[in-house]
Amino acid sequence: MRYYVKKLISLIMVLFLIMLLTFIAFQVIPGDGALSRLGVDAEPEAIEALRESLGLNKSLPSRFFNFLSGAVRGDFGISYHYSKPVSELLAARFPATVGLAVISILMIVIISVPLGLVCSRKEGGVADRIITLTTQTLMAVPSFFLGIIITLIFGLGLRWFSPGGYIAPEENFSSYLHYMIFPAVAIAIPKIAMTVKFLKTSVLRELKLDYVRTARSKGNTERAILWRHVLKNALVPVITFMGMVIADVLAGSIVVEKVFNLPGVGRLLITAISNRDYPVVEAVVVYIACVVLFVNFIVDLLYQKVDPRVRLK
Amino acid sequence: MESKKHLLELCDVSIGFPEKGKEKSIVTRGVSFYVEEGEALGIVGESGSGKSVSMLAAVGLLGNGGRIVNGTIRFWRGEEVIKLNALGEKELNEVRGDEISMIFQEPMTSLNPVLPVGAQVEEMLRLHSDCPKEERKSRVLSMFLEAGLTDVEALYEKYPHQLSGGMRQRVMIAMAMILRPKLLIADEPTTALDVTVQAKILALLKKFQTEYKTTIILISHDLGVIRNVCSRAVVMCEGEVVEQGEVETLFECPKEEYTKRLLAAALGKGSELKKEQNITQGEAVVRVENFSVFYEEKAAALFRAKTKKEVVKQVSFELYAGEIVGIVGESGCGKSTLAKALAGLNSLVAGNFYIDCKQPQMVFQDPYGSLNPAKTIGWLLTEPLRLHHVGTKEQQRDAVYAMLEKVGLSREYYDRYPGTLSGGQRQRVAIAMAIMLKRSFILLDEPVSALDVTVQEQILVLLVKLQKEFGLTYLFISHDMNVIHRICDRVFVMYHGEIVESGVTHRVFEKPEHPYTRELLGARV
Amino acid sequence: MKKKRGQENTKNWSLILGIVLVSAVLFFVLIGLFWTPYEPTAISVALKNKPPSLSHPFGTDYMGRDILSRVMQGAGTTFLISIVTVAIGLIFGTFIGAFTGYYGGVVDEILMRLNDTLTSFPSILLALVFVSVIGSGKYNIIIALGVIFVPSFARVVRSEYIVQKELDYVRNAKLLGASDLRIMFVHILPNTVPILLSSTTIGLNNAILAEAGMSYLSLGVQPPDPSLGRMLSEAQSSSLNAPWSALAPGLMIVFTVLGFSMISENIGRGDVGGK
Repeated sequence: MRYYVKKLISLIMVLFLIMLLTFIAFQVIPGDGALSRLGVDAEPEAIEALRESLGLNKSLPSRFFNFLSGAVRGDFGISYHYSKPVSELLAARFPATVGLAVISILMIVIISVPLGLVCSRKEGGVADRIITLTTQTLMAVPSFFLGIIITLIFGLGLRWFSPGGYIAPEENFSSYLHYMIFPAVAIAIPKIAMTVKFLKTSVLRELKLDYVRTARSKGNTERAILWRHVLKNALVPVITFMGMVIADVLAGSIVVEKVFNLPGVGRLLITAISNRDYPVVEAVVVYIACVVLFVNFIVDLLYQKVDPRVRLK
Repeated sequence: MESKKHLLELCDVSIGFPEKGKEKSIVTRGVSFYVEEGEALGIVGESGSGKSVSMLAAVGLLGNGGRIVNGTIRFWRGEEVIKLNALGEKELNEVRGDEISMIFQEPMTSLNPVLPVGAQVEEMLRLHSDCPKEERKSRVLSMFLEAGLTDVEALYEKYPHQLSGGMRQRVMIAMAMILRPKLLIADEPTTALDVTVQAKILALLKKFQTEYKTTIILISHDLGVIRNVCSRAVVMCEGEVVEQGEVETLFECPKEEYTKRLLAAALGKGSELKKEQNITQGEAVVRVENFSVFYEEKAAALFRAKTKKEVVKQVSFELYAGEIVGIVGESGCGKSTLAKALAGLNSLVAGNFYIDCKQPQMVFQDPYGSLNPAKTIGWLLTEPLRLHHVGTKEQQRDAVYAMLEKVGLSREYYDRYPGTLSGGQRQRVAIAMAIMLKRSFILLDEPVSALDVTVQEQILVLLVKLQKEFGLTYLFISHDMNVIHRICDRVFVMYHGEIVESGVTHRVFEKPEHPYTRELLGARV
Repeated sequence: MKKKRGQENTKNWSLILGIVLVSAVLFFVLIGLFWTPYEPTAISVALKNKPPSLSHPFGTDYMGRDILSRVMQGAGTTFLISIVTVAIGLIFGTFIGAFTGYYGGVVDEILMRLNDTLTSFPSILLALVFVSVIGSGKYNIIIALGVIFVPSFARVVRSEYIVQKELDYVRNAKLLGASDLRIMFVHILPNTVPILLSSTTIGLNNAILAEAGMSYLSLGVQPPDPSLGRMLSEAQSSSLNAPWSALAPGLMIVFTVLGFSMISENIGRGDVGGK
């Protein structure tokens, strides 16, 4: 129990730190928000009025407090560019991004675990060599290049989907899925390759340890050794690795959303950065930070479930 | 005698491992020996002698692509003899665990870290018996009790890292014995344990041997352990059987030169290396008064205060010029901590000490960790001279050459890296480094414990030679009573951070006063 | 330890392939610094969207520019950015990692908490945040990525120092009278070289991918400088008329990253200065 509480407290502390850094990055360093919105040619009175309404005249600590309490309620202010509440913009962009992330993570888990085990069981065999070479090559392909190739072959060539198209899930869920699959594949493939390799290394490292010899000396079959003894040990580092992969999937979706022209959070971030639309950038950063930290938290919990040695620390 | 059947017999067995290039490297050549039903056979040899490999080969557990290239291994199974080396994986799995079980050296790594120990023992029943699920747990619990474990109900759910070394080895034994196998192969089962724990584990093995008529093959580098348990022994060296026979005859009148050397080195029967002197007059070169050393336990939380644990408790002693003084004790008694603190490597100390020379030097236990792997031997030995600006570059080079010769290494070692040296050679370099600055007081922290017995012998001889030549004073830390006996003038016995007994070596060994000293000596075999 | 022969062969083979790939790419880039078949920025309406041919092996793009020439120069830009970025990360990371790992204490504790948080975010995301504050462009990208690489190098070096400082050879050096700085940089540093080598190659890969990604999103290198990421982005908008234009820049990235990853895998730990 203490372990959970400790992790939770550190989660909240880190989140606070991130909010502070975001605040400094987007509200302190860029300078006067009102001036940058209205431009240097604007009437001084208008700028002053906007400052007043945005609360920019207050002291930094109280501005930070406002920002913080707004963020907790999900209120990140009004977008400079769209003049709409940021939370509304963000909510509209969630379906594409979340769908993309969930589908690609599912693909990664479902495909890479069996492949990794096959490779480590038949180490040095034909299947292992083929898979190893393929994974090594695929790992080197950036997901946006893969996306472009997929668009060229399956979109423009085979016409399995129309590039740049998107249908919202509430309109037609199966069409939504149809449009999600290809970008999800582009994100998943390099990560699958990485996970297979990582799992294989992990299993092979475990197979060399003394306890495996003990398990053999007890008369276990190779299959039982792998499933009953090795897998749980080998998964310990893989869990941490998967946490990183999930964070990477989010990053990958930023780029892949552009390749497939999907209206996701990543696209929103890129447009906002180009427009210097700081409230939106802020909100996206905080959103991604929350997801990454939440994933790390889950990883920590799983970690101590699998490895009894962690519980004592 | 002839009527007893040979439960396991190795005939002319050669084992090879694949190497770079084409040729297989052969690690054992034509090994033949047998074990009679019900007896305890010892296999003795130094590391690399092939003693473990030949037993692993017998049960098909050679890793790294190792293979039996020649010979046969026979085993009595029920009423028929089977050839173990001709069995498939499936048949072998029926024999392994059920009829032949094994215990390994390192009980921490030999148990699966993420499974409770109860489940690991229970697995034996699941694999080889038709014992119903409900009964398995109670059988495991009663086996735990038999293996000398207590509080078994709670133990069942514990993980290996929660147990002490001795307890883990008892769990291993419980696991190996729960099916009453015909043959138990114990591969260095007590090497990783303290001497007093060692004695108890050996007693447990003997108990099972007599109670259940289990045949035991005990692999060890330690002749004392073999003599304690076994009736017959096989001596192996560099992949070949050197000599075999009854333990008594083997130990009393060994035929082969190698066995003689091994015995001399191991049982301390070799001449005492140093004429014992009693130098308690004159100025003390080291004086330690009410000296305590602490270990800082990591704080449980970021803002919680750190707690200090007293590892060495108020010890006082004096050392005189030209003495070799031993500190003996089991792991965790504080002997190494004391040595490191005297060298100035630990600042959490209380009390006083005075040393009549500049910064004393130290030789560490592990010759693999004490030499920087990224530097050449020449660079390493020149470093002390460089740091203290002794002489010109040429003079430094000559001094290093001279020192290499003193420790019995040729000049060619100057440009070699530690990675290319054997353990003994590395330890010679480490000793050379320690005396390079000509400091009169040297701390030796288990300097021979990581070495094979014959190499141990050479290093001890070297240490005594250098001590005489340079008039050095040694503080010699060891857990090994035999080594202490051979080299020290005086000895301090340390227990739980305190010196419980001290005196001239002869007196302590012949008339020990403290019960703990007696226990240590008793475990010595 | 003995290794399987097959494994050994595969290892050598993939190391050689990695070296071949990386040197081919480097050769290509070095030539591109002095000579390209055509002027990479020369626009020609007549040569618009020409498929690969003998005179233009990878075709021309939507402005009639020779793709091969642009890749040669673009790869140079990408390389330059990645190398400088990794150098920044390596130098500062090594210093920070060495001091925090060797001394430990409160500063180490705080820095590492911060570090753990930062490294759990994908580098491209952090770079985007940086760029949104300081603006895009070649030099800003170098600063942004460089700063982001410092913590991961620091982490690697720190954990290596924590292990090494407990080894007896460091104790030995202390007893001989070596100063802390000497122990840190003369005694311990050479032992971190194997791990630093492999993290440097991995870092180069990450930098190349991050730079390409940023430029693809038009937040990295700005025109008229060619860059592999930018070329891919332009290729995509003309994918109907000139689908081949994505091939050369894409493959360039793949070969480089593949080459480095094959090398880094085989240099791993150990085997330096010994055996």
